[in-house]
Amino acid sequence: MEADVMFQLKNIQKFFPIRTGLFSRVTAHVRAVDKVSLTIRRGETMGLVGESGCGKSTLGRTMLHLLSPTSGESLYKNRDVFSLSTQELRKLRRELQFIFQDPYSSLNPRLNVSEIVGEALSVHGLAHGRERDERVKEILSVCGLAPQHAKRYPHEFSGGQRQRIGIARTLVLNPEFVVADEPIASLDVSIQAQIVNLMEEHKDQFGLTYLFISHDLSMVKYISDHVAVMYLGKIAELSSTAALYKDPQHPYTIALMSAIPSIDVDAQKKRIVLQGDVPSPSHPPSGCYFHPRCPYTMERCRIEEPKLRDIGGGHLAACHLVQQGGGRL
Amino acid sequence: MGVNELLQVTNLSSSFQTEDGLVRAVRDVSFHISHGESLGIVGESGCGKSVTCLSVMRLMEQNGRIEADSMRFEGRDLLSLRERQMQKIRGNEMAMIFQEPMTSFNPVFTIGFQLQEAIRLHQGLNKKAARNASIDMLKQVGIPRPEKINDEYPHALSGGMRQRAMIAMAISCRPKLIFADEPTTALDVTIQAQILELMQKLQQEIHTAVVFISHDLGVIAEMSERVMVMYAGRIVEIAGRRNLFKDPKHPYTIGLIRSKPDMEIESPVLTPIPGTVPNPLHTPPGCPYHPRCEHVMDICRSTLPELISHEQMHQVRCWLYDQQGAVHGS
Amino acid sequence: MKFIKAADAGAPKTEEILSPRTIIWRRFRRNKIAMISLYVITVLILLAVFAPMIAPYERDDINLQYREQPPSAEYLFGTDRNGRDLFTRNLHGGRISLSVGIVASSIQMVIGVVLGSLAGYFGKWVDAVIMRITDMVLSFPFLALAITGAAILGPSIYNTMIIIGLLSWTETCRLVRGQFLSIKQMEYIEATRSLGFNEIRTIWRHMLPNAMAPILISATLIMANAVLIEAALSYLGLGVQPPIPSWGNILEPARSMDVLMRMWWLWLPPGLLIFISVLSINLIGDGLRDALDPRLKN
Repeated sequence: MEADVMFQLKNIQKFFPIRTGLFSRVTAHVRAVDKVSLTIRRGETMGLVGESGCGKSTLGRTMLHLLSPTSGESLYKNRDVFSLSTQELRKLRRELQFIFQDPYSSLNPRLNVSEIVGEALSVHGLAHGRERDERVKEILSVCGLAPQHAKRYPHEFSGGQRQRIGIARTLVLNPEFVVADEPIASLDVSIQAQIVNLMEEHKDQFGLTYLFISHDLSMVKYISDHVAVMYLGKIAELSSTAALYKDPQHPYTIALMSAIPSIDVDAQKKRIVLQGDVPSPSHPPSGCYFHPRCPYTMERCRIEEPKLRDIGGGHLAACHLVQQGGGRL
Repeated sequence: MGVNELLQVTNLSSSFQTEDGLVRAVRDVSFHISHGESLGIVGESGCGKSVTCLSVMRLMEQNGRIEADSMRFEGRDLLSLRERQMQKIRGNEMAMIFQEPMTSFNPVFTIGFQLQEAIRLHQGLNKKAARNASIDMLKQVGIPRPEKINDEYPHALSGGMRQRAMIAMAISCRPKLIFADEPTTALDVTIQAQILELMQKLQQEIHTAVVFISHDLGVIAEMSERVMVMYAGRIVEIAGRRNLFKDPKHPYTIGLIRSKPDMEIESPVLTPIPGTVPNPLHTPPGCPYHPRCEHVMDICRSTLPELISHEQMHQVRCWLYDQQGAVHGS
Repeated sequence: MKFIKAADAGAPKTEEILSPRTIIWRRFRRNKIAMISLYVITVLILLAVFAPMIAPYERDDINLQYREQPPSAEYLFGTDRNGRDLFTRNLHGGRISLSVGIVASSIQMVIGVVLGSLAGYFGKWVDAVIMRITDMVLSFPFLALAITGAAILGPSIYNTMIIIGLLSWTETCRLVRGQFLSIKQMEYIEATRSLGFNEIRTIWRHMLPNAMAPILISATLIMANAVLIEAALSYLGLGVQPPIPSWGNILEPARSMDVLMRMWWLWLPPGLLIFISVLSINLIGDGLRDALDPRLKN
């Protein structure tokens, strides 16, 4: 494996059982993540986009073993996170961090900021007592909070400030890799950019690698080096950000991009409005999962599932039409 | 202000009492909307955009208090109407679409039952005719298999379908004015695109005026001919869509536009607005935006600027501009 | 870094640090009825604690010359059939009745919280087993079992505490389980996992404190109930045994119609004391519920 690879995901599957009936028998599975493979390099930001229920958050949680996987491997620096013992995993948690979506439910309301941020330092035996307080204050100021905020409780802060506290809680451990699960989705527009810029600064300052999960394609474009687009538990397209936004290949990516409203009142945008809803992940369609909504469906799409293949220059797409050679849309 | 005015609101203020004190959610808001026009209200949480609409419909919570110099809907003074008369206007001539349709439908009745109830109440049709009308409405909002969906309960529908049904409910009585309060915020972008397209189509077909509320500038840019920007309960800028997005005047509007990347416009850096949205209990003195404003001057800290006409149909509340529209300061 | 400094503009305005506990206590203080109840129960507890110092006579002193005396300057609450001073005995009775209430509700709380949190946190078969046990205990006829228990184990103050404790934890258990199920969904619990904390820390430091509010409210109700059950059992002669007085067994002579009609001082004071203490505890519970109401959070 190359030295600069931080995470390598191989065929990760995560199914949730659906139990019904008197004896809670498992009658079906929600295929939340279905054979996803992905490589994340040191120092980059991988954007993971898709609509609700596409499995992006589940993938982020599963790869860190916050959810137990159904199958697959998650190699972090060549060690499979899934096969570690509970003790080893707990130790490794210091390096692998998670930023949560909801700044209101992600902070324990009964603890003050100093306890929230500093607790992990004690647990991992990194700092105690006065040294711990110093580290907490230092990290708070890095996250744009004042040292005197340390003794206050979460309810006194606004959503954006709470998200800063959440970020401070992860950064204080000096992690290597951070999964950010929709970190700005529940913030006001004027605050979103503050948090994104903060994350960008930390990336350089602390040498972080991010997996940035979002439904907001415009934010992902701004922050990511590579982007993976997910649909119904699978990766539909994966490419460098520049190539993906300049020349999207998968019909789903194209539709998704065209659906975002723009403030450019002069742009003569041709919008592709996809028909119908996203199918249920417990009963996915045959062949290509996207075929019932795709404007270019062919016979083959109904039967055969397209593989995620390189269509040139490290740009991967899972679409028969695109792969049929030069058939760029 | 022509004769074509559908709704004319002058100096509306709304407040409500909470445990921690009086929240003045809307302050001196004046606006008008003509027949068939679309007006967008944009702003962040707590800016008073929803309360403005609830006040016009007189749907404020019981501890709420509405004051206005006048609030005229087709010449009728909404403030002096009795609750019974107001009920007739609501649903019949004015309707509302909410963010989360799950909570606006009663979960124990079918979609059809609730639609038919509204239709029969306001149009006086018999049962059979109402059922047909309800199925027609569902068809009109693009719901597949309307006969079947008519007999479904709300939980059986997806978010997008429920929002379509909600729209069917709102337009069932051909209202003259629809308030759409963040109708697509809970939906995915591809579903949002469907709903926005539907609303544009319907607005043309039935020639309804729409007040579209959103925090998303892009959605507002697509849905509204005129846009009103609110901050801390006040209007800070009103302009036609083109003027507002191409030539925004108020530092807050400019800040909002700069803080969000756009798919069509290349922007190498994001410039956030510093600080936080003010707590409605402690609105800053003077111009409420002054603690976050990059052009802040002494006068901004003490005195609230008036909403002045900068150009025709372009009003702004900011000390950077005087009555003649010349620019002060830097 | 320009915007970071400016972000401080939205810092909390008040100088004073408002912990959740301070806020709850402030809300509680605003509730006059609950505060009066708190004072009343505090006075009753203090009287019980210092009973030996306050009481004018020895608890079990018998003075056969002065039997069944109505209240007088010498015997404030009169005397009973054996000529014991009732004021003294009511003071001492409070000691017993209130400590039965406190100990019994502590026993049930420990059992209920431990089992409820295990069931709620671990779920699956742990939950199934604990919930079935709860169902079983719930379907015991309480009074019949308490009476049988007292008859088998022999009536005593300790047995009374244990019996009440062992039979009343089910409500707390279900409550804690429900709280844990909903708190488990909160992202701050997921965060404890992602930060590498172990289960004990998660349960003890992150879940329990957040589940405390309803547990406290129900603890007050159960304590009031325990005082009542002790009174009932002792009144029936199955609880605390004379000569040790409790409010319940002081009431016992009122089983006779004669006493009920002619000698009100034998039963009215203990009855009123039971009534006042139970009412105050319940009103404190009400006040707590209002103060802890999450809808009022800012």
